[in-house]
Order: sequence, then structure tokens, then C-alpha cells
Amino acid sequence: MTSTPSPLGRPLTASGSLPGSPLGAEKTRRYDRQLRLWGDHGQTALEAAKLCLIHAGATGKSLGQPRGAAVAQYLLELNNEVRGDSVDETPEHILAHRPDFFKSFTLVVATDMSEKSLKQLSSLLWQANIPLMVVRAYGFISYIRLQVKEHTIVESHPDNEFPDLRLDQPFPALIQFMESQDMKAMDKHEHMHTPYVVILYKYLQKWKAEHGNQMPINYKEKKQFKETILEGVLKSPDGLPEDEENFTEAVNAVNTTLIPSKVPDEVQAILDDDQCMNLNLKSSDFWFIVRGIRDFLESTGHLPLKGTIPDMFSDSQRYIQLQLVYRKKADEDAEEVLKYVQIHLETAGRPAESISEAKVKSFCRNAFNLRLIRCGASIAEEFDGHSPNNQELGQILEQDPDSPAIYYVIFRGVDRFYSEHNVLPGVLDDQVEPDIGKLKNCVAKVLADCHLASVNISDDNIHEVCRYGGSELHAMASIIGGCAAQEVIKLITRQYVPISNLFLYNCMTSQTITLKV
Amino acid sequence: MEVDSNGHGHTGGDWPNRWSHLSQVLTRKGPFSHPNFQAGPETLSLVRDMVRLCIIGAGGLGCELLKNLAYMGFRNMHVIDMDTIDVSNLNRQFLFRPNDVGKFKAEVAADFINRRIPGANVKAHNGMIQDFDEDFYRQFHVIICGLDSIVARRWINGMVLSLVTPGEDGQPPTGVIPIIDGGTEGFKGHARVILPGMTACIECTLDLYPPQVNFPLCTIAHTPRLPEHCIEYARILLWPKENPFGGEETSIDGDDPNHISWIYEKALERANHYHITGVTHRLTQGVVKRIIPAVASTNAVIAAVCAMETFKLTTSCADPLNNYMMFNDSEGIYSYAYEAEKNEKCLACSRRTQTLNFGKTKKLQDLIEYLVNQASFQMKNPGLTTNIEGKNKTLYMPNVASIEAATRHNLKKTLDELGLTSGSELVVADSTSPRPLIVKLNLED
Repeated sequence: MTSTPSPLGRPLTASGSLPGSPLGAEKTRRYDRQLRLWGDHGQTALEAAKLCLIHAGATGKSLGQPRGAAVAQYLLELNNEVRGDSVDETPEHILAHRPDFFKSFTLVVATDMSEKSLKQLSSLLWQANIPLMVVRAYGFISYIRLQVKEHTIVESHPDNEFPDLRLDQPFPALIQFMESQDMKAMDKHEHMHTPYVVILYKYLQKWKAEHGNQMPINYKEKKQFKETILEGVLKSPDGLPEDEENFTEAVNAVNTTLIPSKVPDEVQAILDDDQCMNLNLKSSDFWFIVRGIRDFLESTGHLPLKGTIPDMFSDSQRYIQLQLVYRKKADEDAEEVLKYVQIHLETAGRPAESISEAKVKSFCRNAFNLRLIRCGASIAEEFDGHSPNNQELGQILEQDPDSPAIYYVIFRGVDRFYSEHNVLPGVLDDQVEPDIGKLKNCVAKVLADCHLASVNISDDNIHEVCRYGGSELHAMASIIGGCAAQEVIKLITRQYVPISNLFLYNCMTSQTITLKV
Repeated sequence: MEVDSNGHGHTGGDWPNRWSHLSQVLTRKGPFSHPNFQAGPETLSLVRDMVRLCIIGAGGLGCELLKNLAYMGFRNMHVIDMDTIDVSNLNRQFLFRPNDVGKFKAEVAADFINRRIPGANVKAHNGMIQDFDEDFYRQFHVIICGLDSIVARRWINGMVLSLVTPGEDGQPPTGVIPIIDGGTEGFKGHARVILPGMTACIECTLDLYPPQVNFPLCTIAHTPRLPEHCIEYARILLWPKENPFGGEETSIDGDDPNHISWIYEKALERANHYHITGVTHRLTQGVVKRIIPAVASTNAVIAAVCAMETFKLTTSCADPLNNYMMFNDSEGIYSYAYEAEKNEKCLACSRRTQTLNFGKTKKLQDLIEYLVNQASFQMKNPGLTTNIEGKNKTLYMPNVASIEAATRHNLKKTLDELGLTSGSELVVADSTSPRPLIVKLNLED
């Protein structure tokens, strides 16, 4: 094996360098493995982001050098593209004297803050609509609490996406293509290479004609429908069915493709949201485009077509033709949406061209995957007992006394303990036992604040937390830090779906839980 | 650059409170601690002075594992990796810097940890796991795998199983060295704890690692539909025909930009001919090198879960994972832990002779293909020997060129013609296991 050395950063060849990549050859190579997940635009968003990491623990300045400065130096060593500053000031001091400091960030991550300053910071960032993430590793438990007023996602990258083939309500160009396919007149080769979408369409027409224009809906009907399809497989001269892969694919696709075209509930909720209905100059592009899609849906009865089809056994020509039929319709739909968007932009006083066609197209491709995350209340409001999710939390705690969720409540109690005693429970060996009772008191106060006084937390769980004595294990911090880092990436790239709004890991039982508090 | 975070420039010793966080959980019993747990300072010294760990792989997971385990107090560690550092590793393999490109991963990683973490004693092995024997692996208390290769996982699994002595009369087996295995792919990952001979092993759950699916050759040659089909056409069919870089059949080097560019251009040409869109340089490289996307955060999570499991297993301070945990953080954060079950017919750990039913008129080639394709075997390149009437006979041996040439004609012979009968024992050697597998034939008409 020979290999030509390739010096770093040298453009490959005129045609070999990545056309249109804004990142340049070296970064393209360095970040290759993640660019394949969130793309160049995701990476660009990450590079433009400005993060604030607050560590305000009692140990913050116990080392020879302020911890912030050491961390910043390490980060720079790790990646010389990082621009890091450290501020050797307590967050309390900054909050009191120059709170606007925090408003200059894309996102703030806080660890080890006291109840009081966290509440202050939470309110400040809630007002400014800047996401705040609280991360904590404590003994064998760790958690992330995300506060975000509103987070909208277009590219949610669902793991399992159903194809949008519109077989139940075909559009004219699709009907025209299907009508041009006469399977009875095909020779064997052509028959075997007919894309399964055509097969499904043909047999669906037949089925509907025989069943009062209804699609096969339930299990029994679908089973029957599959049998009908298999009857269409060509027979060899000795009467045995030929091996037709496209027919097998058609049967396998029945369950995922013959679904009535319907707006997913989550998307419908977004289309009906107040933000969508009351557009104004402050509305984000997201809501303008959502409104365009809503108008489109009202006039056509459909979400804009996705415009992509799954791979299927076929000859090249007909697969490409079919692909074009769907893509062209998707482009037309997106143009319709764009027109509606432009009307709403002008009505709100924004230039019609302030949202690009490309953006609307990408949006329409993802119309089925739109996601919206809202925390009903800030962390400060939650701490004061005003979270709309209190009852839900109470139900979980009462129904499952072993739910990992109990630890979140205990940690709220730990914060209260620290506010009252200025020390964490169980720090000193001889205080583990006496602190159990004190911590139990604090937990009871927290529960009472949340109107959950009837919830009972077992002494064993409280004892376990006292045993930790504030211990922060490196690997526990790494687990939750790794999770938090990915949540930060999701929030900044606006791709993939972040947690809403509490994630907790219990290493003793290897259980995790996500819940809304 | 050295930033000694303790500010005192210690080289090997400890400073006050260095281990206070570990001490909290190791010197106190909790209501949920494991019954075997001995709370006290001796457990901390066990971690620091007694336990020896073997870390396999110094890549995305390996770098994280070394750092995590060192900060969890473990000092005596060996790391094995045969690879050298590439630029595309730098987005996540954080012990490496741009000027380390081209050096051995194991060596750079070990040096970094030994320099940065006082007291750490990491020994690097720039080589393959297959370079080491039973005596080498027997010295460890836990083996932690951060591998991207299923073959290597299966091999180490077989090695560790060979160290186990089954207990007599219901006694537990001895010589059990746990494997903690981590794996990631994009936003997905898993961590598992294997007690060889006692809980499900890698072979028991081989169906969790489905074999890679390739595009059918006829699609690539005659009916391309996807950009990937066009790239595979240039790679598989055009390259050997045109041998664009001269010499004696230059094989494709996925890291050589000229090679990738050639394939990209040819694929693009073919795509344009068929009006297929989507052939890009990045996709070309991805298909040619079979790149699996990777992010730092998933590696961080999975490696740290593995480190916690190592910590729990060696100290008994809490219950270990029983025994498989999957993780996915593309939509929210999801995990699920369950007990993977032992397969009673497992090739590796059931200690049963496998019986293979096969037609006597089938050819040796068919048998080999069966061993490669069958889900429960999934072998790579098996070699077969047998014993016929007291004489050892090599049926086929692919790895030694001269023996391969001498036995190749056997592939076309039927099992009957080769003198095999029902009850014949085949000794099958393959890269997926350190020991040959004995298979008993049951020939059918």
C-alpha cells in the first residue's frame, strides 16, 4: 500500500476540496466525525456561541491559583481555537454589581450555586430568554436541570422517521406517473424492477374500489391487503412464484407507509400556539414560517410534502423519476408556504425577503419533525412553589417511592440545608447520623413549599445522601458533564431535542429518569 | 505546558485532602451499599495500590477511560492500542494534540496521564491484543474495553473465558476477570459488565452487533439509485480496472486525498449520467472509509459509566450494573438497563461441543460460507483442520499463503469426498477467538 502524505490545511485539489464548506480544509478534517451529525451550519453555530460556566463552590479558591484561570488555560491547550476568559469574582458579586454581564452569553451553565444566587440568576436569564443549565454530581447521583423559556427545533433528526409518500391522497403529478405504469404490460425484467411505491399504489386503488374507497386500516385488513399484493407476483412456467424483491419490499412497507396523512399532535400544537397566531416584530423566523405552514395546511389539507423517498429496489430510471416527482411537488409546496410567509412578514412590518427561500425549504422538509420546548416556569418560580408541574412530580413520588425523582427533592433539601447551616450534610464523619434528621426537616420544608407536604421520602434515601457528605466523584461529574455538553450543543445548534427539563442518573441502580419539574 | 492544579508541584505523593471525595464514599457504609463492602481506608488503598487494570483501546473511549480511572484513584494501568493518531481523532480524543499526529495512541495517552496526574503509572503497549498471552492477561483484576471492533471484542472475550476454571459441585468458578465493555456510535452508546462464565458474554449476545450490510453488486453495477451506489461503483469496480495510480495494483488509501478525489470524480460522473444527486466529497470519504460519526460527549458519558462500574466492582461500595445499559441522547436523554441473558448454546462460554447439521454433498466452500454468514458464528476467515482415522488433516488454511495454495482445491470438494463423516470433529481457527472452536459434524444426505 502506498500513500501520498497530505499536509494539513492544504486544499485537496481544485475539485476535491469541499465545495461550499465554510469551515476550510483543516477544520473539516478535525471535526469530520461530528460534522456528519450536525453539519457545517451546526458547527458554525457552535463556534459563534459564547458560553458562561459558573463554578461557585466553597472550594473555588482553595487552590494555589484561581480555578477559573486554570480551567481556561487547560481549555486553550486542548483546542487553540477556544477563546476563554476567567473572571475571578463570585457570581454573587457579579449579580449584585453588574448583572448585565450574564446577558452577553448564548447560554449559561451553573454548578454549585447557592439557592439564593441561583434564584437571582434564574430570574435574570429567564427575563433575557437565555438558557440556563444547572449541573450537579453528588455521590452516586447526578442531574441536569434545564431552564429555557422557549426553544424551537426544526432539524430534530428523529431516529425513526416514516416516509411521506401521500399514497392515501396522491397529488396530480404522482397520479400521472402511476397511471403511466402498466404492470400487466411489463416484461419480467421491468416487472421485477418496478419500485414498491408503484405496487402499493396499484393495489391500493384496487382495494379502495372494492372497499367503499377506504384504505386498509386495522391488522386484519392490512394482512388481507398484503396477501392481495403477493398474488401479483409473477409465476414461473412451472407455476411457482418468482423471486420478486420489490413485492417483498411492498409488503414490508405496508405498516409504515399506508398511514393516513395526518399532522402529528406535537406539530399541531405548534401550529395552534399563540406565538404562531400573534405574529409581531419580535416574533422569530420560526414562528413566521410556522404560520406560513399553517396557512398552507388550511388551504390544502396537508403539511408541505417532505419530498424525499426511501431507497427501494428499482431500475435507476424509474427510481429517479419517482424521486423527481416528489421533489418537484415539495419545491412547489415550499414556494406556496414562502408566499404566505412573505405576506405575514409584510403585515408585521418586516421586509418580505428577510426570510430566505432556502430556509423555508429546509423548514418544509422538516415540517413533520418540528419541536417546541417550553419550561412552564423559571427555576426561581419552581423554588417558590409556583411551578405548574408540582402535581405531576407529586404523583410520581407517591406512586413510585423508589423513583430516582426522590433524589431531586432531596437535593433541593440539601440546598436548603446549606442555606441554613452553611455546610453540606454529612461532611464531617461524626455528623452523618445527626444530619439525617436535619436534612429530613429541610426536605419537608421544600415539599411543603411545593404543596406536596403529603409526600413521604424514606430515611434510607436521606441517609444515603448524608453518607456522600458532598462528595464529587470525578467519573460521576464526567457522566453528567458529558450529557450536559451534548444538551448545550443541541441548544446552540438548534438540532436534536434537548431534555425537558430535568434529567437524573442514579449510579447505584443504573437508572435514569427525565421529568418536568 | 504544565499547570499543576495543586499548586505545589508534587510528583508522586499526595497532598492533604487529595482523596477526600473518594474517602466519603469508601469509608462510610450506606443503606444501599453492597453486602461485601468493607468501609474503611483500606478500600482506598486497594484502589490505589493493589488493583491492576487493563484498558484496551486508546481512542475515543480509551482516552476518557484513562483520565477517569486515574482521577478515580486507580494508578496501575496498562493500555493497549496498535493505532497511530490521525487529525480526525482530535475532535474527541483529548489526550492528543496536533503535533502528536502520526505517533502511537497508547504511548501518547500513557505519557500524558503519567505527566498530568501525579502517582499514575500507566504502561503503554503499541500493539495488538493478540500479541499477549494468558499469563499477561491473568495479572489484571478488570479488563476495560473501549473498542470499535467486534472481532477484537470477541477475541478478548474468548481469552478471558479461557482463564476461568469452573467451580466443582456448585461452587463459583475461579479465575474470573470481569470485562467492562463500552461502545459508541454517534449519539448512541452502551456499557456492559461481563463476569466471564457467570453472566452473558460477548458471544452470547452476538446478535446485538449485526453484521455490516453491503449493497448488492448487481445494484452497484447496473441499477444505481443512491449516491452511495455510485461511490461503490468507482471503488469496487472502476478502481481495480483502471488502477489510476499505477504501480502494482495500488490499493485504496482512504486517507490519501488523491485517492478520494479520484473516486469522488468518477462517482460524480456516474451520478450525473443517471441524474442521481448527492455525491459529495464528504460522503465519498465516509463510504470509502466506512466512517461512523462520533462525538466527544457520548464517549465521555459511556467511558465514565465504565469507570464507575470499575470503581463499584473493585470496591463493592455500591451494586454494579446488571448487566447491560444502553444510552441515546439524540432525543432528550434516554437510557435503559437490563439483564442480558446467557445463551445456553453460546459458542464461547457454554462449554458445549457445537453440532453442525450439514448435507454431505455440500462443498467445503459452502461450509466456510456458512461459518461466515450464520448469525451465531459470524467468523471472518476461518481455517479448518480435522482428524481422519487418527491422522491430522488440514482442510483449508487461509492465512499462510503456501498452505492456502496447497489446500485451495479442497474448497470445491464435497464433505463426503474429503472423507468427513457424521461425528467428525472439525477444529476451526478464526481471528474472532484466541482458541480454535471444535465443531462436531452431523452429515445428512
